[in-house]
Amino acid sequence: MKKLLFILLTLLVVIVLTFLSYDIDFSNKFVVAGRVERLVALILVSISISYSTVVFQTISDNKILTPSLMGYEYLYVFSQVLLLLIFGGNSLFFRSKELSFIFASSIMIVYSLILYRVFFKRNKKNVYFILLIGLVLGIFFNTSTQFLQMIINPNEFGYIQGAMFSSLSRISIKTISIAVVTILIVIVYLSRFFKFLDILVLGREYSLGLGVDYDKIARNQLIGISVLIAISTALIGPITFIGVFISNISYRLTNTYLHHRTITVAFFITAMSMLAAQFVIEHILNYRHSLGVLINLAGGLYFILLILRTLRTKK
Amino acid sequence: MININSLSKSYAGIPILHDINLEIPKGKVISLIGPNGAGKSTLLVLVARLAKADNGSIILDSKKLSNYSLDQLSRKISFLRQQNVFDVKITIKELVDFGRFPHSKGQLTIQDNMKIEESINKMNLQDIKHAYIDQVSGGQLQRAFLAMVMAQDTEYILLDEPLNNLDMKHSVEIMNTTRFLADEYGKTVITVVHDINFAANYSDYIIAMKNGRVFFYGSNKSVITEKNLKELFDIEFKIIQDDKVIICNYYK
Ligand SMILES: Nc1ncnc2c1ncn2[C@@H]1O[C@H](COP(=O)(O)OP(=O)(O)OP(=O)(O)O)[C@@H](O)[C@H]1O
Ligand SMILES: [Mg+2]
Repeated sequence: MKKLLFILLTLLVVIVLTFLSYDIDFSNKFVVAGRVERLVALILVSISISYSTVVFQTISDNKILTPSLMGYEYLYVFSQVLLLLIFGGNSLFFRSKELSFIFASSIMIVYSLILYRVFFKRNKKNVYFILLIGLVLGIFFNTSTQFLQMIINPNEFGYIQGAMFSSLSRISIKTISIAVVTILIVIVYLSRFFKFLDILVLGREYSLGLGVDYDKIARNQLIGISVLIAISTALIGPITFIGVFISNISYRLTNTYLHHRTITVAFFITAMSMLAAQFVIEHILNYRHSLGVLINLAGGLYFILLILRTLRTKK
Repeated sequence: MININSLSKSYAGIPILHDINLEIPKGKVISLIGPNGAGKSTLLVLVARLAKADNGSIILDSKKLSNYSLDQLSRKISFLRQQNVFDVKITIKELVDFGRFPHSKGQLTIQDNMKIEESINKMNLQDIKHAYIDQVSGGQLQRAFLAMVMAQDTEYILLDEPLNNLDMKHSVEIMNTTRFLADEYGKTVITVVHDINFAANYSDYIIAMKNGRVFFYGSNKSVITEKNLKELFDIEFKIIQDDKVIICNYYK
């Protein structure tokens, strides 16, 4: 494990340094600041994604589902449209980044708790059925968003359009600082439950038998996960699809059930892939594609392989 | 002592357990027998408080089961489930460590480690304790879970078909271990056993269930009769007995 962490850390440092310094004029403060901002944003998003994906998979007791497959990010965008419709484009609610973020997070928390009650808590769960439900819900949120857009006036339309696609262009010092503080609070709060989280892998009945209140722990974690996804979506848009492959690579590399290890390794892999992808976009593709496109392409391919493999081993 | 009073349970409107009344003494090995679907697992699940009964009550050492906190209960009752499949990278040693969680809360003390060591040795897992549970045989996995339950070191131990997947040697060892736990440590072991001969020879009391009801209950000497077994399982039995063993023959 030490060796693995050392290798990952070295790789990440190399990528970070390349990302920051490749082909740059250090006297141009604007360019340097821009890169640092993007770096910090991607690191923050990587923390959110790795934590939320790994823990989401523990709670839903499977290794395929991820928050993005359950439609979380579409729900985020949908909540922004709702906000606009209910309060109007000039309202404080819509204008204030903090308030609209709190609104979106609350909706996602409620959604998580409903998902947990209806699907994850049951003993006999069929992952493919839940996956299908997630897909349907995702499409539902997405088309509802598109439908409601037509009612919105064109000025406000632009804002929503922006929220629907992942992009690094809308980050600012202010949003990054809010994200840093929120992520810190959430992670510190959630990590107190790590030792219980490790026991949840034994399932509901053994956890209860060992004196661990499974439902309470699962609910707390889901609330935290909802906030983390809301942060990453607010920062750079729908991007957590990458979770599909980073969690599985992490399980393979770590060979353990211990969350502090699987999450740490998952973080390194996420951060490296995101930074590498962004680097390619900036210097090789000349911004012709967005980060979301690359991530979805890689994630999609991996997801298909994953499904094929589990189908084969089930037989 | 466990007192079960007019307990009933249904799943999705279908009654599974009807009016169960039992008084289970302390420090004994009690076998739970009966055909598939009789409600044996359901009864254990209710006693372990993993599901709620519709009616009736369970009283554990003169305190209502529902009045125990989750934490207290985890040091009072342990439960081995009938099915144990996990798609998790966890080693046998780590699994047995989990058994100590109610006592250690994650920080293993010297006593914890001694219990863990003892359970691993009792279940013959010393050589494979660092193997992952998804890479050992069915019988080894079963013993690993038994070791976890043993490490939990509770007064009451509920085992749902502990002999699942075990060869004859290990079956005998597990039954001897349950005797040891009852006789030396004063534990109360309630275990579902399908092999009638293990039940007849290793337990103090036998509870037989059929169609969600207690069919008979008593000391094994008094209830193991050809008539009782025939009515319970709907097959012919011939009992062969000497001063050491009792064999219930249902072959041919
Ligand atoms: N969670 C559940 N939901 C619905 N029905 C259930 C549930 N658990 C058990 N049952 C039903 O209750 C009945 C009794 O099941 P139980 O598992 O208690 O039987 P058993 O005596 O342990 O059988 P076996 O020897 O096969 O393990 C069965 O008909 C089963 O279908
Ligand atoms: Mg059963």
